[in-house]
Amino acid sequence: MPSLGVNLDTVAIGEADIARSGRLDRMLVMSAFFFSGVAAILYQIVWQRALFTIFGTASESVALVVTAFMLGLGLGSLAGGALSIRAGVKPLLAFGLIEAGIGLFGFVSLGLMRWIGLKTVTATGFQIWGASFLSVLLPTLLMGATLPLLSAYFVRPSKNVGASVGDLYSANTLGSALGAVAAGQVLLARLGETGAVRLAAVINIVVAACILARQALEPRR
Amino acid sequence: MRRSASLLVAFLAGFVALSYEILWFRVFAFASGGAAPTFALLLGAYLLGLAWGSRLAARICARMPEQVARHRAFLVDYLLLANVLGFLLIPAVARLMTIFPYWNVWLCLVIPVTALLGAVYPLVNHLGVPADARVGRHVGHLYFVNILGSTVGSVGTGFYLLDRWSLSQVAMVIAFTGIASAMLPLASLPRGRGRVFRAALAIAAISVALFGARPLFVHLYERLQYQTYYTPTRVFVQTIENRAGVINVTAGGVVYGGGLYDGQFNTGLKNDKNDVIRTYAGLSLHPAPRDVLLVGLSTGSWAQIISHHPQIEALTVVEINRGYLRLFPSHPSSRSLLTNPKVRIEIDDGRRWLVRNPNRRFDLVMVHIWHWPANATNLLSREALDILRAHLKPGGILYYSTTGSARVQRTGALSFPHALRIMNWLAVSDAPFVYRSQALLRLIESYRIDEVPQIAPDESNHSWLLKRIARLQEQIEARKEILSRTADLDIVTDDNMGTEWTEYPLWPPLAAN
Repeated sequence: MPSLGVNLDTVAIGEADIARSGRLDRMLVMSAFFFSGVAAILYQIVWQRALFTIFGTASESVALVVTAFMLGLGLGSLAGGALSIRAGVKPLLAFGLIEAGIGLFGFVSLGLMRWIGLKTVTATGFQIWGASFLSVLLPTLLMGATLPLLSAYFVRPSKNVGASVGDLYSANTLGSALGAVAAGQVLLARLGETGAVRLAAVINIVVAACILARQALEPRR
Repeated sequence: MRRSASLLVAFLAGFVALSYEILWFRVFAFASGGAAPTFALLLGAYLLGLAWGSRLAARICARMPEQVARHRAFLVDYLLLANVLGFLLIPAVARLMTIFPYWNVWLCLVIPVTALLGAVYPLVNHLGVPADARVGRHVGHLYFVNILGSTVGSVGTGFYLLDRWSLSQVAMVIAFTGIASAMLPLASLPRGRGRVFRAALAIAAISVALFGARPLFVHLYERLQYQTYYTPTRVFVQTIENRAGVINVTAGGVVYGGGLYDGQFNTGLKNDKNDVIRTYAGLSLHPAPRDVLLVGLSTGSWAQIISHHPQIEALTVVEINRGYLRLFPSHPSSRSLLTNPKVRIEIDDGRRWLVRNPNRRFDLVMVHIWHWPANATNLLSREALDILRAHLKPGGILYYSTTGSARVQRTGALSFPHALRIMNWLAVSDAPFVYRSQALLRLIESYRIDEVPQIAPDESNHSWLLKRIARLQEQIEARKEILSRTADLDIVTDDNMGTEWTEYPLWPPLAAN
């Protein structure tokens, strides 16, 4: 029930509500980041696999594909960091939109990679790297941007960098760990490449919907 | 900690963490015989450890947010311990596999080590990033250099170091680098017993890596290969390590590639320990095989037999690991392959070579492959068979190993109108072909390898060969029977990845050989 007057009781109730709301908020974002990690690892396993089918499993192809992934994530972290300090940028809103973007890309990703594979049949060396990089640039940029954005969101009120980054990194990595085990034990055998990527995309979309709904309902930060 | 020091520690932590992952993957993939889930499960254990470690670091930072000296001390401790344990994990797993041979159980050991590594990144952030309005940007920078370090670790260790040095040497270098990364926070600790104690720990850690590498890593691959059958006298006579993998040869001429049985040095039929009769049978299917492609070289025994077929004019071999070529000079049965003018060896991924050489056509294409290791589908799926079909001349035959997989056999039999199983190999074609035991007998009678005939000229009675061919006849199955036997099975496609995720053995086959 909303408070109607300014007295000590109602102030106490308001602070408790705010604290509870903050905990819920934190739980929601941490859960969202956990599931974002699940989806990210499913993409990584399936996309790497699809790119190996296209460009081969020779060690130079493997190294080039992995580097393309890493570089995308690294550039994304720089972009996310830069975005987080821009005035008017709401970290949670940006995170929600990024998750939606990753999910939408996820739905078309395998088709796009196979199309790029057809167009680069005779690719060698850095052409492979370029094609792999182009295939995964957009989603890995988006994925890489999420940690700095959410760090900014959590550190501002807590003022504790280690605790905030540690908790965020932990939630996301735990999601990735469970996603990797699930992929290895169940998902890839049951769903195949297309099914696993679709599942990841659905996860991203649900995460985006939850975060954007929360942002719409709770404009306090 | 100064910003530049934070960035350097974050970079080195990324480098070391990814390098260990690559080294551990080599160990576990060898132990599993290259099973597809190895990477995903190792990644799961690795990430679980990182999650645990970063959670631990978050709790430390939350409980004592201002105690910078203690955070630095924790950082030093974690870096030192992680690198000693990361290094020791490799020989430890090899020894444990000889007691309890289930690699997926020992994957759990990765978790505490990566937990220590996982605590580093949040601690470095806490020590190097001020909690101001630019926090997101600084976290982004540290994340970027951490990923950059991971990339250098992945490429530098996986692509460069493992191609030049042995696993033990690379592990030593990585441990040194990790221990060196602890020197930066160590130098910033306040003077006192704590700093001296940790410096002594660092020296002890370096000593473990420096003096422990040789004794700890001895018989590493033998332990991983033979597992509970391992004995100190059972050693490999040749081991080749490069970025493409590990090749081991036993005193008896058995070859293992990445922990998986890969064949034996033998081209003869009298002591046919590697069933090379399958090679002769495949060759006998085509009336005039002049131009042949072989995917997968291994011991070179099959290539040697094919290249000495009386009608063969050219044999192209595609092999992904150039290390196999180094086996031949010391093994007489395959030595002449390297100087045979009919033989051309291409070092490449099989499917990639096929896609890149669309105009090459062959009378006979043979593919050596196991059906379940990671990426095997790339040569066994319906899509792969379409690519292979495009490389057949009119009347050409594709003959490939199914290693007994009914799904692989069904895929081949459904993809081509003509199919025949010969033991665990499958011959398929768009044109009709037949297997005749008389044709096989005549072919063997005419065979000479390096001027040595399969049937000695003074050997009038070769009933042993007739019996062998009769036994082979019992292991031949027509297309109709294959399809009937496998009616309830799905075919293998690129998308479903065939049997890679479902039929891998927990214990690689033939480990006891």
